[in-house]
Amino acid sequence: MQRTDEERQGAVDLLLAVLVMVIYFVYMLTIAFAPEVFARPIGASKVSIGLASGIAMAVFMVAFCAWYTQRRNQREEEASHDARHR
Amino acid sequence: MNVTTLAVFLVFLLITFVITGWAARRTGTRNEFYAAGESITGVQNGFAFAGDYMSAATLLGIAGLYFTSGLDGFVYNVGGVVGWPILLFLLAERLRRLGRYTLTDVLSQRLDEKPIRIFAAGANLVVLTFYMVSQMVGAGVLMNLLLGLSFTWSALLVGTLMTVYVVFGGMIATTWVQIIKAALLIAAALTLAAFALGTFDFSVGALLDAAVAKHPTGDAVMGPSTLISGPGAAISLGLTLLFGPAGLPHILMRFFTVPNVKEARKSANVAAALVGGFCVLMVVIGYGTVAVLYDNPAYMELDGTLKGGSNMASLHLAHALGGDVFLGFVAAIAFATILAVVSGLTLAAAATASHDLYATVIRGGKQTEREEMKVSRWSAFTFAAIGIGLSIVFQHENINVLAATAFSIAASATFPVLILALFWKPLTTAGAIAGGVAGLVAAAGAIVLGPSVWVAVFGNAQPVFPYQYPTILSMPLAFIVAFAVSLLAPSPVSEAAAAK
Repeated sequence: MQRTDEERQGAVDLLLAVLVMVIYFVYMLTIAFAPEVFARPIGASKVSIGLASGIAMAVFMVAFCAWYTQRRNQREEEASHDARHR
Repeated sequence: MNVTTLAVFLVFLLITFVITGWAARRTGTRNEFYAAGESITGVQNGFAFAGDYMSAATLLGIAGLYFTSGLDGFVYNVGGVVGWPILLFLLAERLRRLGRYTLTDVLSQRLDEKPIRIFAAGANLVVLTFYMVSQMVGAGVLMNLLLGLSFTWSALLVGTLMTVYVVFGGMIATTWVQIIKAALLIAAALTLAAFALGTFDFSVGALLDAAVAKHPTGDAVMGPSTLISGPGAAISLGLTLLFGPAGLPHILMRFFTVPNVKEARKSANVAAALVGGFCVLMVVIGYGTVAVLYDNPAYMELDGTLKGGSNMASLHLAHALGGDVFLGFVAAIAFATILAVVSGLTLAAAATASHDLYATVIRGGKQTEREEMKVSRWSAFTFAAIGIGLSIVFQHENINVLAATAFSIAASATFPVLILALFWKPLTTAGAIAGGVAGLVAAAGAIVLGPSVWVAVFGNAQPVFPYQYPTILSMPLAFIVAFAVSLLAPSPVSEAAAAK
């Protein structure tokens, strides 16, 4: 039972890492194939699509880390709490 | 000689010496020397992680990239942020659970201990040496520019200080030096960004308008330049920035300094937030250098390049906005940054030599704790001496090439073996070593045959390997060789190890 839990968690972790990689490589490949899209400014400002989407990506990654950490740490706390009261 | 630089630097030295003295009294055992007695909290370790990630290359090199090539500076910087979720999801929990002092401990849980330790220790020492030399050369250039110190004296000064921190204070001193430096670096970046914005009435829009108006390429400064051309170069750079840090021994070692898995996750989370915040600050600082310096003859050569080279961009910006005092402050922090990073490298090298090679391979675990610590302190001393020597020999090499070599080998030799050992059951010892060696050799070979050595050093017209970073070739090769050897020649040793 313990073993399958661990394996399932490993699979989830790999999937999340692959998601991160996909997002990042979409960004990098846009630079490679369509740099002119990233150079385009948004509206009347000078902020380009490449800069805005890059900052959005960075913010998302930090939030993703926070979500993951909170969720896993909470689960663990609940599990150890259950174990103590069993 | 800048008086502020000297004053800020001396205060930093004083604080670090007090910390080292305090740490030395708490560093009696092996566990305290290598892993700070697992006494570092998640938040503290997050700062230390961020400190390791934000080397002087970030503040000086990234700002320089913004100055010359606009958005490329951001692209190089943001890869480091994206590396953190990867470290958190794949490595944080597993390393904390399986390892004690070095990442080789984690590998030898599943694989035949002696050969895998010899391989991993070798790969780690290669990575650490290249990274060390790149940092020492950077320190030498900086000291020469700021204090007029000759390269040899600067290398000796840096080498001596880091040896003192590591030999006497071990991981506790190394971690606290890193934490203080990270806090100082963030404070400096915040101040620099606030000053830069203040010049433009605290309007990011006005700052960017000025950057576009003054940069020779105009609007193009907001888009990617030709630095990253084509899918091969983009993927190779991306793989290196993403997975290089996940194979750096001095970074992974920090997961062993926290008491449990929860704190390990928390530390990666804090580090991600700090590195992410720093990346956003660098947008303001980077474009700030463009907006402030380009039309200022005090900082520009007549041919339109920056005085002292593009690495000076953030320092010139500090001088333009806050005069000698602020320049001195930022310069001292840049130097403290290098000092903190090389201390971490030295400790990782000492742990590798004493714990992985001496204790396990040579003595087979029969050494006493005292003997191992003694070897470890001598190893730190030896590694520092080698670092000083090599940096004097290679002082005219390009810092980026040296650092790129370290990152590429980490991503191609260490990272694949670590990931397979954690996530792929059929991996055999032979497969792990064959894959790792293939990645290491391919990475080193492709760098020599690539544009930064084959063309820039040997003077050939065309590179044999087209990209600056070899990772697009060497990292997949490491995985393929490890898969193939593991599946074609299953070894009885690893089955025994798996059963255990």
